[in-house]
Amino acid sequence: LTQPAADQPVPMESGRRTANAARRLTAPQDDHAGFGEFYRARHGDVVAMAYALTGDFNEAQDIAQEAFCRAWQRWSVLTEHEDPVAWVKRVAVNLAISRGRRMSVARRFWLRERAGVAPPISVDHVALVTELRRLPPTITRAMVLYYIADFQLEEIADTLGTRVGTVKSWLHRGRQQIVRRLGDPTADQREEGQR
Amino acid sequence: MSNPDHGAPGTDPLASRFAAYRGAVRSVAVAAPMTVLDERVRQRARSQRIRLAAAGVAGALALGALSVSIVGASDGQTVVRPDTAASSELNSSTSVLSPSPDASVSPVPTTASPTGSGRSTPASAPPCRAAALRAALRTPSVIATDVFVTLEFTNISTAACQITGHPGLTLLGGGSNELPTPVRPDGAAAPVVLLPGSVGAALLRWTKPARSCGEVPQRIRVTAPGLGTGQVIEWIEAGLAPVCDGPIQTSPVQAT
Repeated sequence: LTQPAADQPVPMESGRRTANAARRLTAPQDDHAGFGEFYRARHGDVVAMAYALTGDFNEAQDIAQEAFCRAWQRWSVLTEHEDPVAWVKRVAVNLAISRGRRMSVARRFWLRERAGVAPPISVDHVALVTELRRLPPTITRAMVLYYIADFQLEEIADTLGTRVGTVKSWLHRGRQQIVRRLGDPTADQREEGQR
Repeated sequence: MSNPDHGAPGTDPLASRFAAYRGAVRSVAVAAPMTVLDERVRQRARSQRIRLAAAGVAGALALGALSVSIVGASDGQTVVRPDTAASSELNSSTSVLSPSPDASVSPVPTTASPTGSGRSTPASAPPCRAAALRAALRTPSVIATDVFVTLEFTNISTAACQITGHPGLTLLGGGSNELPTPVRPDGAAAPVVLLPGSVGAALLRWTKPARSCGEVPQRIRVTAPGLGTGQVIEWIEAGLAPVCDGPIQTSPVQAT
């Protein structure tokens, strides 16, 4: 059997089944120009987002990979009509949310009881994610989109299907709770001053 | 140093924390080589075809009555379900101080009927007296053009008591002179029962002043809902202190 080379037409043996995928992947370089750099530059941020949303590093890496796969499949359209960075982040958020929802109640309960797979980062960072995930889910998402995905408030409202005013309130509440739980020296000083 | 429109690093202690977190994850997350992405795309194309075929077969078999959805929720789409659409804006209308959300279903005053958890909250209690509450302002946050501050009332008495409504506010200048304090109560109030030591909170929100305007408030007189006597406490830091572009929106006091 002949291996399909990048610059050759797909041989018939590979079958009609994979012809479409193969054609996409062996498309002229121009169609995917810039994807490699985009992928390498943004991958880490997407994982950071997905980990903050799921609390599981393996799951987060899988979500990131899936999101980039989808971007790769429609790269030429994406770069023409959209901001690929925002697009891939939105896909990752939706994946994290929908996977969480699809889990059975029993599995979700079990997962809550155990810690997800943590990345080899300092306990401070893991603690931040733990606190994020103790917030109500909508607030967690708003916080992640704001602080990690760098979305504008309008984009956050749009992604989460709510109004900008609501997003602001969620951010305030999330921020306040995390600062309270993780401690903030400036806040402590303020409180001392008030007494 | 501060960018008031996004994250406001000058006033936002979390911005640097999140930046460090992102850096840490970036350094340990290894992007799989492109060949792995290739293979994944290929595999999905294959399994999609199988799923479609399976759905076709099942559809043919179960014409009508037993149409179980074979293909799960379509990937990557946000499906909004009411269980996670927690309404929690400034004016969310009900607030029940307890981990059991069903407490509002039975408004019968049951002062001594614990509902499972160790810390039970009675459905009602006598109104809080002014002396039973201690007021405090939390650190403000600036989000885009808005300033948010949470005003907390802690029950410092030894008995449960109840508050309902919006707080009263009067800004005070350097000489304890009263300053104009436009307030707009927002949202419907529901009774909040405060156990000894527990905290009810109201959210204050106003537009961050773009210019200096009149005297900068130094302190604020805070009145708990339904109480005449207020407590004077320090107002927030000078940079955010003035309120001149529209009123302070206040939420009712809610459970925390």
